[in-house]
Parts: sequence; C-alpha cells; structure tokens
Amino acid sequence: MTPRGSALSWFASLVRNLFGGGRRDAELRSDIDTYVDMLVDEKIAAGLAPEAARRRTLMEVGSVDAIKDRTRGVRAGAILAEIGSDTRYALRMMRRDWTFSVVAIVTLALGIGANAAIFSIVNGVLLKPLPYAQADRLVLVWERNLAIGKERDPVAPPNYQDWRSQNTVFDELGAYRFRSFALDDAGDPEQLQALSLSSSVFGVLGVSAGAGRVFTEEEERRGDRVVVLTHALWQRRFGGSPSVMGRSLSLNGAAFTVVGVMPATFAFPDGNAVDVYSPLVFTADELTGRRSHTLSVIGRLKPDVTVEMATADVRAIAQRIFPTDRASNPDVAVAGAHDVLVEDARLGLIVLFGAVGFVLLIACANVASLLLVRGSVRRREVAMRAALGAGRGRLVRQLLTESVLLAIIGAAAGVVIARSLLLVLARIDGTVLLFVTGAAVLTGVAFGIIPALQAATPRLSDATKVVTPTYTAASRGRFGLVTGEVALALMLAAGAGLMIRSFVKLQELDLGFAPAGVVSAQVLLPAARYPVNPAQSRPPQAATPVSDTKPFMFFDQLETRLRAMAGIESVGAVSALPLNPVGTDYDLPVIVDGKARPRPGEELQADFRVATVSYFRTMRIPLIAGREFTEFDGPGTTPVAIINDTLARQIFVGENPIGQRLLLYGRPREIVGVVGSVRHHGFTRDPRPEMVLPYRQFQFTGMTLVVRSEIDQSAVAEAIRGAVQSLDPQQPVYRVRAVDELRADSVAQPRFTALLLGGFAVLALVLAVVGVYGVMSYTVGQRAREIAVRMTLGARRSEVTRMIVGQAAVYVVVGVFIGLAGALAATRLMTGLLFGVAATDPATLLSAGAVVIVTSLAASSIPAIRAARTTPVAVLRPE
Amino acid sequence: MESRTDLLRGTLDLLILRSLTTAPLHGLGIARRIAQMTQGSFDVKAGSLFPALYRLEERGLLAAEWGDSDTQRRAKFYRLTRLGRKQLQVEEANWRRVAIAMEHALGSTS
Repeated sequence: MTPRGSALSWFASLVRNLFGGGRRDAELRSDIDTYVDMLVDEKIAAGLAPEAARRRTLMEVGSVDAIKDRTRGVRAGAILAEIGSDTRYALRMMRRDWTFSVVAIVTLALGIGANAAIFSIVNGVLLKPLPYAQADRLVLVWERNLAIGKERDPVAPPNYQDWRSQNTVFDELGAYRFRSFALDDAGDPEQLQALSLSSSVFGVLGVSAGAGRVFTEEEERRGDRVVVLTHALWQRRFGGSPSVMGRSLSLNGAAFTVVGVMPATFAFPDGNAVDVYSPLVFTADELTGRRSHTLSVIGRLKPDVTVEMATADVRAIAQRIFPTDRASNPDVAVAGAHDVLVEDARLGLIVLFGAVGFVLLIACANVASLLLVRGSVRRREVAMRAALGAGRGRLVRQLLTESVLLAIIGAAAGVVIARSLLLVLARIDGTVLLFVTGAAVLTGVAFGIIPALQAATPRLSDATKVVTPTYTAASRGRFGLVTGEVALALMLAAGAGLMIRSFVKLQELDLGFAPAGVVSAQVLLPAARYPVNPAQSRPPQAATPVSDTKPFMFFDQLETRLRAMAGIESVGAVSALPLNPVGTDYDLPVIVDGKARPRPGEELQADFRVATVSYFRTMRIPLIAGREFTEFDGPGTTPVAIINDTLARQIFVGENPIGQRLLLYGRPREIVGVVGSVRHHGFTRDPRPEMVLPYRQFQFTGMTLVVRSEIDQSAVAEAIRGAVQSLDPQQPVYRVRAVDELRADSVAQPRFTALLLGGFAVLALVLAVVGVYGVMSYTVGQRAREIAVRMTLGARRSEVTRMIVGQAAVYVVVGVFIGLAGALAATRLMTGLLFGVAATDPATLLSAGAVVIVTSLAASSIPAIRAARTTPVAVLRPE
Repeated sequence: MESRTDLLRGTLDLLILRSLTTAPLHGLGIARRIAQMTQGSFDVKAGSLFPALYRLEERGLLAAEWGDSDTQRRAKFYRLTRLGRKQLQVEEANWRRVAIAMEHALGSTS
C-alpha cells in the first residue's frame, strides 16, 4: 500500500507504531470502546435497560477484537509488528511443547547442517570464480592429437612461441612448468618447488609483486638468474625481512637474485604448493624441435572472444606447423581455467549436493508429519482464536511463523554441526550463510504450509468440545509423507551402495606393485654440484646416455649405505614413482630396430623411466620374462632395456620381445626383460606401456628413492636423511611419504564421496525410520478405540500386530517401488563416478530396497506390539 | 463481502472526508453524519469505519485529539488536515467526473 498522503507522515506513523506500539494499541482500544459505549448510551436513552442495551449493541457491532485486528492491519509497519508478536507467540508455544520443538529442531539441524556443509564446498570449489580480475576470461591451452589418444598434450616451447606471436584471440598468453631447486646457502638444505614461468603469466593473471617487482620480459629473454618468492617462503625462510630484496640465493648451486615477493593473497591457479617463481628459460635443444612437450599454457581471452573462437584460431596455427614438424600435434584444446580445475570434483559434488537435498526433504517430511499431529492437538486453540475474530490468513501466517522459526533455529544449530564437520574442508562465508538462511525459510514454509492450512481451517465446534480422533484426510497426508520418505531414503541408500561398492572394487584392483611397507623420498641432485651433464635434468633431448667412465653414482652409494642398515629389506630408485606426482615423467615414441617405422607422430608412445637394479624387487613388480637389471648393466656393457607386459602385448604380437632391440635417442638397446605393468596414474586408469632403462646406463639427477623395511616409517625417514647427509651435507631430501599413503591419497576423492554419501544415506534412513515410527505410533493412538473394540470382540494380539504392520507395509512397499524407479533414474547421473559397477546394478538396488523395507517395518512393529498389549477395558472406559 | 468493501473503499474515504468539512467529529458522529448525508443509504459499521479512519490518519489526511462528547464521554475527535482538505477537493472532482460519465453511459444504453 503506497501512501498517497505524505511519505513523511507515513514514516512518522511507522516509527510511532514500531516504538510506541503499546500506547497506540491502547488508544485504538479506547476509541472503539467509546464508540460502543456511545451506542449503548443511545439505546438506554431510547428506553432500553442497560443490560439489554449493551447486549444488543455488541450483537450489532460484532467482535471488537476483529475490528481492532483489521484496523491494526492498515497501520504502517503493521506486518513488522505482527511478525514480532507472532514470533513472541511462537516462542511461547515452542517452550510449552518443548519435546516436539527439540525433535523438530534436531531433525532440521541435521538436514540443514548437511546442506550447509556440502553447499560451502560446492560454493568454494564450483561457484566461486578464481581469485583474479575477470577470471572468466582465463583459459588453458594444450596441443591435441586424438589419433594417438592425446586429448591434452603439454605444449612444445616453439609452438607456444608461435601461438603467442600469431594468435588474434588473446590479450596475453603465458607458459609455465614446474621445476625444483635445492636451496643450499643458509640453514638446513631445502628442496624448493619452483614454477618457471614466462613474465607474461603475470600479465595474464593480472597480478604484480607485493614487494619489489616481478621479473621482466627482458630478464626472461636474457635468461637472467632472478626469482620472485612466494609470501609463504619469505615468511618461513626469511622471517618476512625486507632485506631479502636484492639478496642472492644459491639455488641448485647457482646464484639467483631475489627481485620481489608475491602478495600473501596470491596463489597460482592450479593450487600446487610453490615456493619460488623463476623466469622460463628454454635450452637451444628445446627450441630446435617440437618434440619436447613440457609447457602448460594459460591465456587471457580478449573481451567477447569465446573458447570456441580461441580454439579455432590456435588450431589454424597448429595446422600450419604440423606438416612441417610431425613431432608437433595437429590440433589444440582450449578450456576455461576454472572448469579444468574443478572438472574432477564437479560430478561428485553435484551428486552429494543432490543427496543432502534428499536428506533435507526427508527431514521436512518428518517435521511436517509431526506438525500435522500437533495440528490436531492445537485444533481447539486455533478454533478459539478464529472464534475471537482471527482471519484465516492471519492464522496461517501465525502457524507459518512458528515453522519458519523452528527452521531458523534448526539452521543455526545446523551451521554449528556443519562447521564441526568441515573444519578444514571449506569456509562458511557470507554466501553460505545467505544460502542457509534462504534454505531455512524455504524449509519452514515447505514443511509448515500444509499443516498450517489444515489447522487454520477449523470447525468452530472444535473450540469447545474434546476432539475425537477420526481417520481423516490428514491421515492420508501423513501416509503420503511416509511413502515419500521411504522412496527418498531408498534412492539415497542405492546411490551410497553403488558408491561404496565401486570404491571397494577400486581398492581390490591390483596396482601391479605392493605399496605396504615401502617409504619413498625425493632426492634431486643439483646439476651444479653433480656436473655429469648439466643438461641431464631436462628431458628428453637433454638426457643423453652416460658413456664416460666416471658417472656420478650417488644413488648407488646411497642404496649401499641404506641396505646395510638393520631392518631395511631392500632399496631402489626410479625416475618416476607410480601414484607420485613428483618425478621426471614423459613418454617417447616406440621404435623397434628392424621393424617398419610408422609415420612420425603416429608411433606408439610409451612412458620412459630409469630405475636402479633393485627397484623392481623393492616394489615387488613381478618379472614375467627374461631378467632384471644387474650390477653389470653399466656404461661399458651392451645397452639394455626392460619393457612392461602392456608394451610387450601391444608391439610384439606373437613374438618374443626378449632379444629385440628398441631405438631410444637414436641408439639401439636390447630388451632383456619383461616386467608386470603398474597402474602408474592410480586405480581408475589402465596401465600404460613403459620402457625402463638401467640407471647405470642412463642417469637423471632427480630420482625417487624407495625403501622396503619392517621398521617404523619415521625411523626409515631418519635413516634416509642420515644416509643422504653423510654423502652430501648440502643435499636436501623431501616428500618423504609411505607409498601406502600415496595409494590412499590417490583414492581420496572417491573415498570422500563414498564416505559422505554413505553417511547421508544412513542419516536419511534414520530420519525415515523415525518418520515411519512416529506416524505409526500416532495411527495406533488414533485407532486405539477401534483396536480395543476388535479385541473385545475376540481379535488376537498377533492379529492386531499384523494389522498395524500390514498397514505400514502397504505404504512402505509403495514407497520402495517409487524409490526404486527414482533410483534407476537418478543413479544414472552417477555413472561417471562409478567404477566396475553399473549404475543400475540390481544387487545394490535390491539390497538397498531390502534394508529400507526391513528397517521401516521394524520401526512400525514397535507401536504395533504396543497396540496389541493394550487392555481394551482401559481404553474404552473413559468415554 | 470482501469485494464489496473494496468497491466501496474509495467512496467511504470520500464520505468520511466530506463529513468532516464543517466540524471535528468522533467515530460514531462520523457514522451518523454519513447516514444523514446519504439519507440513510450508507450505514457505516465499525468494522469498516475504524480501519478507514486509521488509514486516513496514517496518510496524514486526518488528525485527531481527545475531547469530551455531548454525553460527557471522552472520545477521539477527528478533523481534516490541510492535506485532507486538498485531497477532498481532488477526490470530489474525480468523483463528479466518474458520476457524470456513468450517468451518460447508463442513460444512453437504456
């Protein structure tokens, strides 16, 4: 109602009404009272007796309260005042029936809390944009070659340079790759994670240094030794001292100058922990061919350029390059940076969000059914208020205020639950609180509206008489709720069952090695102190065979020292350990000496590794044919290689691979053994073809040490550190991890999803069972007289029990069928999360159905048995 | 019932404003004056009268103070404010236009 009179006077009234509500009410009351009194006066003056005059007047005027209510309704801020008084009234009602209130609030707290928890993760991961200006324009770009199964291949440096100079779609394009530095100048030696990036990356992200400056394109081109520190490293290693600026650091034995520190708020998009940023420098080798696919490329799209337009533009460049250099790829892939970062998590989170939605629906159904029960208890009170002149809308609003209030208190408790659930997982911020408030109000209305409408349709006679329970539409409504709850609980149980079965199956898969009892550690030797071939740390063209007679044998000596220690069973080292994200991991074309060579760019690719003699033994990777490496496979002997059986099957169909020769880096190597395949990238990925070279014939500066022992992990870690320090006091060891932990990490996401989904399914089942129990108890109460009469007429107790459970069974079974249909539809969406289990797996669906039926019927049998125990006389006597 | 009140709401506001042009009146006085002005056609009940009075007061068209009635009862006397007088003129003019238009419309069809 827009005031046409004067906004000022309306506002003044609003203030008066809100703050002087009591006085204004009193004024209104005496105004109306005077009106009535004057009418009475008139009637007395006309000759009626005072008593009769008053009675007649009141009959004419009607309910003074109703008039007051209507008049109050037109006043400014009436709604606000009404909500205030409704809330006070609701609180009074909640205190009066506090068992109900506690049950309702706990139920809602569980439902809303679960939603708050999952939403805060969804919000943090899926909804929030990356923390950069106009982050929606950030994209990642890869090479692509679907013909050889490469959907997203890292980018070769010359390709990146061509893309950068020739594209028309990017404001700026940048490239980066990870590297590692041993910081060895002051204090404990420490291995630093570094990101080598083009200076343009800062422009792409739109960031600059927090102190000092970032490096320039000029410095990058000259290959100046400058670094920018992360805020974390600056604090941890240098105590946040400003004097670090301009200081020289010894990284991998070379002096680098610190030119700046990034702000504390800055983190690189992909979330990997980084300590320093250094300029991206290419070797001459890298720039002469397009074989070395090592770069991640990130770009900022020009305004209004779409991902499709960018793909087309860069693809055109790639297609010009490919015919001239087959080591390049003919196609490219472009995707939004945020989409790429969350794509692994997206489906799981959506499923979980759906699951908590179901839990909340069940919680709503439970509270609604409680309210329906209470509605019949409160019928007298409602009828009384209606008789006193409260309109239907007014009553509905009052009842809805009560349910929304319940939901809001439940939500507050839920947020506390969510916070304790999440601690580390996600933050509860303004967006989450907004979501929770919205969810609470919606929830309150959702579960409150039907009971409120029902309760607010009173029969006036209810005000005075004792309500005799009858089997009414309300009962049918309650059974509708039971059916719905059972159906939802079943869908959740089915989803959780599938997720758990899939997780179990995943864990049962053979990784191809035995992780238990093995500890791994990273040792990266700085080229400056181990100058065998400074280029060796840079794959692949840099890694040239060691042919001279004085190779560094650091790892050999390390193994010898460790093996001598008590409790250590065996020790090995490899260039890239399965399940471990750190390591020198790349693939090479497989070329067999004497076989027809496929066209360049179309050869089978196999992962390339270097391992020490006892690596396979330590990891318990089985030897299938031929022999393992020995001490004699060294610089002076025949170049050899071992392949895994995946590669053997793919390339030597019906032939014996032993004795065949592979051409690697232009040099023939004899295959001396075939080992079992490992799932290098985790349970969900199939084993890849691999070629392994002996460390004594081909050396990398960075290796992962593996130690199998029966002693405690921390003791092994100590032993490794001690042995490394005894060989080289300046040499850091990092990422000391049990391989079993790496295994657990690799399934962390499916485990998280399975665990949460399982938890929600249990919660849903408990709520549904409580719901069934509540409704059946109430029904038994309502039918007490009928049951008593039946028993008087000779019904046996078992018959009564069966009758009640049978009644429940009808609704439960209907619910189960609806739930099964729903589950078949809904679990299909989970296909991408499942492994080794069909989304429609009949065993899982049927067992979920069985669990739901058994628990629901068990819940209904309690009130049924109680009903059968009643003594008819006690029930029938009071009336 | 509700729709009839809505239909009459504008009319009732106008009648109340009109009833107060000569002197301040209390609630019952206003009801009686309206009945008199309309020759008994409108008998305004308390249930419509008070919401209307308070609505007009909220809008600043009416002001009120407590005083003694002829029968020595303490009553709330309503009077027109300056804004109320202005509003009355506007509404009267509107109403006349509508009435004439309706008259024409109904007269011509019969």
